[in-house]
Amino acid sequence: MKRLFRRLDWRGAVSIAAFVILWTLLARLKAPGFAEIPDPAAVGRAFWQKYLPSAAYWNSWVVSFERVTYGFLLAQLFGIPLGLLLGTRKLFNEVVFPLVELLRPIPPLAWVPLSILFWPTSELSIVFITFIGPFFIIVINVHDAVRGIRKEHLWLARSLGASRETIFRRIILPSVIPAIAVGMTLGIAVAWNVVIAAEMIASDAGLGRLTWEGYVSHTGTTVIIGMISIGLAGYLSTLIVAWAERRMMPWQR
Amino acid sequence: MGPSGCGKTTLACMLAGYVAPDAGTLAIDGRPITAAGPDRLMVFQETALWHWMTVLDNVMFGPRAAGTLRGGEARRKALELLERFGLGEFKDRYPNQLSGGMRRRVELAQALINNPRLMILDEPFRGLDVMTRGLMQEYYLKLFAESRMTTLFISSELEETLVMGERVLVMGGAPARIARSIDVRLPFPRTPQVLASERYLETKRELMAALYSPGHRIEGGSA
Repeated sequence: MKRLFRRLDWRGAVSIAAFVILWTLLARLKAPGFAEIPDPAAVGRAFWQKYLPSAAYWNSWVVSFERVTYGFLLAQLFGIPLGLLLGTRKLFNEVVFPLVELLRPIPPLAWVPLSILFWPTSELSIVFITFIGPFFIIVINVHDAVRGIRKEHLWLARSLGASRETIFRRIILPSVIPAIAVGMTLGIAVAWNVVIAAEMIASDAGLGRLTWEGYVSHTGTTVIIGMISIGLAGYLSTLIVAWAERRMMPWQR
Repeated sequence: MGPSGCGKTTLACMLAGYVAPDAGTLAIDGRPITAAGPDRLMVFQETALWHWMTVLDNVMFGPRAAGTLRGGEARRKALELLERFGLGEFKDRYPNQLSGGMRRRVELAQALINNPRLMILDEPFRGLDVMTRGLMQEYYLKLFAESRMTTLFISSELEETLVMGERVLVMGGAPARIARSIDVRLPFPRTPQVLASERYLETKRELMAALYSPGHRIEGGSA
């Protein structure tokens, strides 16, 4: 946490200030392309007056966060065991891995229409799409990690008389934790990517929807407040995931 | 000892039971080797400590996993060994927080707690700085003098071989074989005086001759 904030020292503030000033100038001068784009002050005003006290706005946060949380956690819940099975069971790998490789290149958003057709509610279909993105990432990461375990680590355990169960629990599982952490970092980013796009296409709530409605109603301030909110939400999730990762790997402290 | 690439590590892995020979059998004291076991433990070239476990957990792993000692008993014995190895205060550290020489001592403790009949050390001190290396050699020799446990020490360095060894098996050739067996008739401890003696030089010459004799050399290999 401290490290993340330290980066925002005065040098960083220079570029941020320059960005805001340039944006203000271009918006005030109605530079080409800026006809419908409000200046930062207008965005700030709109946020303060319209969104900060609005229950609907904060509900968008809650809705998007819920979808990301469910999609992300389900991806871990199914992805980690599947990756472990693929990595440790030869027969299982031979049967299932080709299917994984076939489905993996399909971008999560390509699942949107099928997902809407399949799931009874749009809520379920959005959670499903949010699940697909991080799911394949975690599967592949864990699978590769199991295969990359140093053979000496396994040999030593075998020499010392460890049972298969002990080797799995005390050697294989901890060996893949760094890969799970990487999968989580990448996965949470993908989950946000996907949920926003899915909300724009197929939902009537959430931060993605809020942003899209701003566009549909030609309300530039809403579009920008939506974008900033999404950025903050993603950043917040990253902090939570980073905290969880540190807890998972006490030996890297 | 032998030139790098001649198969020293492969042979060690076969003895430990990690690698099965393509043909033939290996036996220790007449008993064929079929699987890995705690009677033959190997210290690998690169540290194989489990970096997610503390030093103490690493050392206790063997007796706990094999069920040879009860939890409290394993802990007590591990602590005792760590104390003896000068690592008592580092028991709760993780391997990444230790120096190379300390990690080696932890690995020795991790093996010795199981009372192996054969220790296989595969170039264990390679990569350590000269000082640490000298200390570790001395350290292991002292340990060895106390326990008299059979040790197969793999090295690719002449001096190390003559500091550590009682009997040197020179490997070489293609296909590799044990080309020569040379007894190092030098007393322990191998003090600087011993290592400057006429007999030391004689043995060294003999060893060099064995290593460089044309029949046993590997094309492109280095001694």
